[in-house]
Amino acid sequence: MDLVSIFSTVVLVTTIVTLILALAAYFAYKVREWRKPKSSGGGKISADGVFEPIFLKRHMLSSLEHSPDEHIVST
Amino acid sequence: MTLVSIAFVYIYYRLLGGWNVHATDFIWGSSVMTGITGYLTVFMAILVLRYFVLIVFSYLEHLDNIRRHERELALGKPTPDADRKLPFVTIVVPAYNEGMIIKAAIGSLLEIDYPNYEVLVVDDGSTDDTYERALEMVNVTDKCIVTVITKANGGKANALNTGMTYAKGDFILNMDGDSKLSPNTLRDCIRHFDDPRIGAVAGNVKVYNRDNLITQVQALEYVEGLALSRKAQSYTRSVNIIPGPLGMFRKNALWQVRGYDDDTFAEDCDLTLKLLFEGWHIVYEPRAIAWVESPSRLIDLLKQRYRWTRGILQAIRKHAWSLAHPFQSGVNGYILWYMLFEGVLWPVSNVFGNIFFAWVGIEYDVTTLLAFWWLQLSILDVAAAAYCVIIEKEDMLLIAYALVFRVFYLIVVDVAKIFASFEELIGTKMSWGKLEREGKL
Repeated sequence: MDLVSIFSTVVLVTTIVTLILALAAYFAYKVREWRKPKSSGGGKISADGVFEPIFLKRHMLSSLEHSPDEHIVST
Repeated sequence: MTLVSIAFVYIYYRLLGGWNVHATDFIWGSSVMTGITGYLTVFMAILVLRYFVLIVFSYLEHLDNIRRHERELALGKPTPDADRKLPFVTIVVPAYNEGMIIKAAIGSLLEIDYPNYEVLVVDDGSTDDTYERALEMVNVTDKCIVTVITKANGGKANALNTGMTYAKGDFILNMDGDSKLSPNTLRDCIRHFDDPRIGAVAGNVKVYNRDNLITQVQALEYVEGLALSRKAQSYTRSVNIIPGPLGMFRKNALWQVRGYDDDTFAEDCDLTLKLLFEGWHIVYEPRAIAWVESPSRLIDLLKQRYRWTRGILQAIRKHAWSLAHPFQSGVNGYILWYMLFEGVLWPVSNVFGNIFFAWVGIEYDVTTLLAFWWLQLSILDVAAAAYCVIIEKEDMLLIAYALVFRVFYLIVVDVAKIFASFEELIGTKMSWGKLEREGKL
C-alpha cells in the first residue's frame, strides 16, 4: 500500500466517523432539549389566574422549629 | 495561496472528469454524476474565490488601519483638553442569570481608558443573584457612573432597548454580560464616528477560555472565520453582523431603526441588516477586543450554532424582497446572498461533498477523490489561518488547529447548521437556550 492510499484511507475513515459523530451529537442535543419538566410544575392556577407554585416544606429540627434565630444567637 | 488553490481546482476537475468518464456503471447514470461532480467543482472554485477576495480586502483594510494608527501616534498622547471634547458614551450591559461573572464583566468596564462614559447594567429579570452582584459594583469607583436597572424578563433585545432608552450618551456601546472589553475599546471605536455616515462599529471578538480542543478550535474560528470576514467587509463599510459582545452605535441610528426587534434569535444580525438597509455605513475595529467565554462542551457548541443559524435565517427572511431583487438592492442584496451562501449553501455543500466522496470511496474504491477534496480545503484553511494569525498577532499554535477545524469541527457544526436550516424552513419551535457559564472570565 503506497503513501497516497494510506492517506486516502485515513481521510475516508476519519470523515465517516466524524459524520456519524456529528449526527449523534446533533440528536443528543435535540434529545436534551426535548426533555423538560412538565409545565405545570406541580403548582396550581388560582381563581384570579395567578400561578401558585408548590414549594417543598423545609425540614427543621424539632429544637429549632419555633425560633431558629435564637439558636444562632446562642451559638 | 490562490495559485496553489487554482492548481488544486484544476487537478481536482481533471481527476473528477477522468474518473467520471470511466465510471459508466453508476446506477444513477453518468449525467447525474457529471452534474454532482460539476457542482462540487464549482463550489470549490467559489470557495477559492471567496478566500481570495476576503484576504485581498482584509489586507487593504489592514493597511488603512496601519496608516491611521501611525497618524495617531504622530499626534502624540491625547491632551486633557482633547479628552474633554470626546463625546459621552453609554455602555449597556444586558444580563440574564450572569451572577457568576457579572462582577468581573463590570470590573473590566471600570478599567476602560476613556474620560466620559457611564455603565448601564440591565438585569433582565434574572432568577439568580445577578442584580445583587451588579449592585455591589455601583460605588466602587468615581471614574464613571454605574447604574443598575432591573426589569421583568423580556429577552435580550428588550433589555438592550431598555438600555438604549435610559442611555445618556449620544453613542452607545452594547455588549454581553459575559464579555470583557479591552481598555482601549472606546477610544478606538469612537474615532470612526468622525465620519457622519458611519452608524456603527463592530468589535473584535476573541475566545478567553482556551483550555480544551473545542475552545481552541473556536479561538481559531473567531480569528479566521469571523475576524477575516469582518475586516474584509469593513473595507466596503458594510460589515453584516455587529457581534453581540461588542458593538458601538450612534444613538440616532439606533432610534431610526427603532432599536432591536425581538422576532429573531439573532438580534445583532437583524439590527445590523436594518442599519445597512437604512444606508448607514458599518465598520470593523480590530483593536477593540471583547473577550468571551465560548462553549467548552460539544453539546453547548451545537446549541449556540443552532440558534445562530436559525436567527440569521430569520433575519435574512425579513429582507426577502432584497434577495429576490438583488440588482435594485445594490450592495445590501449582495450581502444577503453572501449570508445565505455562508449559512446554508456552504454547510450543505461541505457535508454533501464529504458524504459523496466517502460513498464513492467505499463503493468504487476511489478514495483519492476524498483525499483531494480534504487536502484542497485544508490547504485553504491552513493558509487563511496563517494569514489571520499573523495579522491579528495571535498565538501561532492556533494554525495547527486548522487541520482539526477541517476534519472534525466543521463537519460537526455544519451538520447542526443543516438541521437548523431545515427546522427553520418547516417552522419547528425553538427557545433561546441560555448557555451555561463556567465563570472563567
